[in-house]
Amino acid sequence: MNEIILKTNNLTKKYKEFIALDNVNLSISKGDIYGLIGRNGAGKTTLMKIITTLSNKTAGEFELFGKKDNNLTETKRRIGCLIENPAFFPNLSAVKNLRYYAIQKGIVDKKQIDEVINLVGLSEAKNKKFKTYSLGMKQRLGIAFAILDNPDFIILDEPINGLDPIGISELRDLFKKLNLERNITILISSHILNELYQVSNKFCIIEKGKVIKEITKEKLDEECSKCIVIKIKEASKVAVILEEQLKTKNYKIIDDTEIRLYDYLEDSSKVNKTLIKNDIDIISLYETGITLEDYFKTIIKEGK
Amino acid sequence: MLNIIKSDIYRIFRGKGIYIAIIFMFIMIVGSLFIISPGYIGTTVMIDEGTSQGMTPENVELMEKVSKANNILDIREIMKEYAEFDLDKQIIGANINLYYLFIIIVFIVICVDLSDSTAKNTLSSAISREKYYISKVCTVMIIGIFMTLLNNYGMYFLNIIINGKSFSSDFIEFTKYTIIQIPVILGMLSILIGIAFITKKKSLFNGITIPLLMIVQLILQGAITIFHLEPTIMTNWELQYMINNLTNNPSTEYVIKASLLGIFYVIIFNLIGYYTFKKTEIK
Repeated sequence: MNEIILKTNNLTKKYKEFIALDNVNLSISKGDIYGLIGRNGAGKTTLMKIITTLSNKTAGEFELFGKKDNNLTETKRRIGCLIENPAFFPNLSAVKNLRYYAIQKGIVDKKQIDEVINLVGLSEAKNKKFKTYSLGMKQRLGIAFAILDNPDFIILDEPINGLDPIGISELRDLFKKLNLERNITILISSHILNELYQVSNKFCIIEKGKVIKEITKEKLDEECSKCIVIKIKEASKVAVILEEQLKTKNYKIIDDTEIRLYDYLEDSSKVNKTLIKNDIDIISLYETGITLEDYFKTIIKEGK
Repeated sequence: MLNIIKSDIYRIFRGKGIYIAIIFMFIMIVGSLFIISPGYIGTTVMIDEGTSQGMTPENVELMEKVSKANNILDIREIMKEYAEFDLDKQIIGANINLYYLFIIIVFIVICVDLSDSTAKNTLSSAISREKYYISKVCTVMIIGIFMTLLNNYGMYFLNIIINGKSFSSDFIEFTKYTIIQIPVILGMLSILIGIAFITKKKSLFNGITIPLLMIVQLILQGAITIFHLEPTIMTNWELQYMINNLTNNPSTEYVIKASLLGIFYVIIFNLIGYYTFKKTEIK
């Protein structure tokens, strides 16, 4: 069983009468890229602030690397984060800003600063003052700060805000690289499911402070993807026909009576005809699947 | 904790602010040394019977001559002819001027960090609020004391160079006066630290601290007049007077009381600052 990095138990945060987080329960395992999705004001940042101790919880508890939330000072050494907007000293360059935090974290090796700057693609602008940076560059520096101390777990609050499409794609690759090569667990938030879909393996949809759904990527694919659902009596026999006669392996056997076919979406009648020709008793055959955006909207509606 | 102090010192000495403050400090020193008279920023010393600086007939005559002088060269000549005295002691008696330098230090070390939200980078790593607070207090106090010593001893040696030995006091005696001012200076720094952690905003901090000395003096003067209080309340225990009195052969009892008041300020303002900061949501 994978090590649990973060586990929350009925975590609640109230600001006077306003409930920002309402009994949030979620669990992040080692190696996950965990996408936290929610609309603006859903409670994503509040959750991240509580985990990083920037904000105090009202009720509930959480564990980080198995340590209770009242004893986290040393455990926090293992996390890196970028919460809300990246904040650095405007009159210092990227290198000097990172040097400041490197001294604070007791990092002696100056090469580590250059390494993270190169990783986020800021090497050409590393000596420019932070105040001259574009929003995208600021985000990159924020990510460089988050990974400066070789953390085991990084928390990134909407890190792709303000980035151009190429920048988004580069950062996506960076997150995957950090996850695969350095085995860093990542908690990443966004209000756009499509963006997170491309990096995360697990998702949590949050709305008005409540967790509406926690779902793996596989399950999300199942629930969202466009496909032809074939309901039959003997799935294995149909699989052979699909491979031999329709020349496709792009299908998934759900159970003995259901196959999902991800090809021939424009020509489902051909599939129908082929199966009938082979004496298959078709119970039903229909197209299904929704876009991630529609899925998100549906879930939010259901949550209400 | 040591790392936070080191990083703040790294940051402070890589910015322009501290150097501008040091240059301003030395301009004040050289100006005071040249006209052979201590200068005050924004505030004035109210001469009162309660202080040891009573106006003698010679003083009155001197004041008249100085007020009639056309330029600072004339003032310098008048002062030189007047008498030989310990100018360096008088100038550190005007060390309330350092209050404005301390505003800059607290602003750079604490206000910028809290106001620009860079504090969240520190507090989200393995640093507790308690450690953060103590580190900031230590940093401000270390730099504050460093600047005080730079001001005092820089001025002491420049005085010897510019005005010669006749306007200079004994080094040991000068050091004694420098040391007995330290608790009050730490108290002054703590007042600013407390305000910084309460306000958290750069503009609000400046808006309160810059006129604070004058406002406190006005309130005290008003209270003395309205309630017929002893003027010694102000002339003995208001910050500007305390700093001045501590360089004018103070009694041991006065030094102890002033030091205790300084320590009281250190404790009370840091307690208020810490408990306010502990409950703060970091933005």
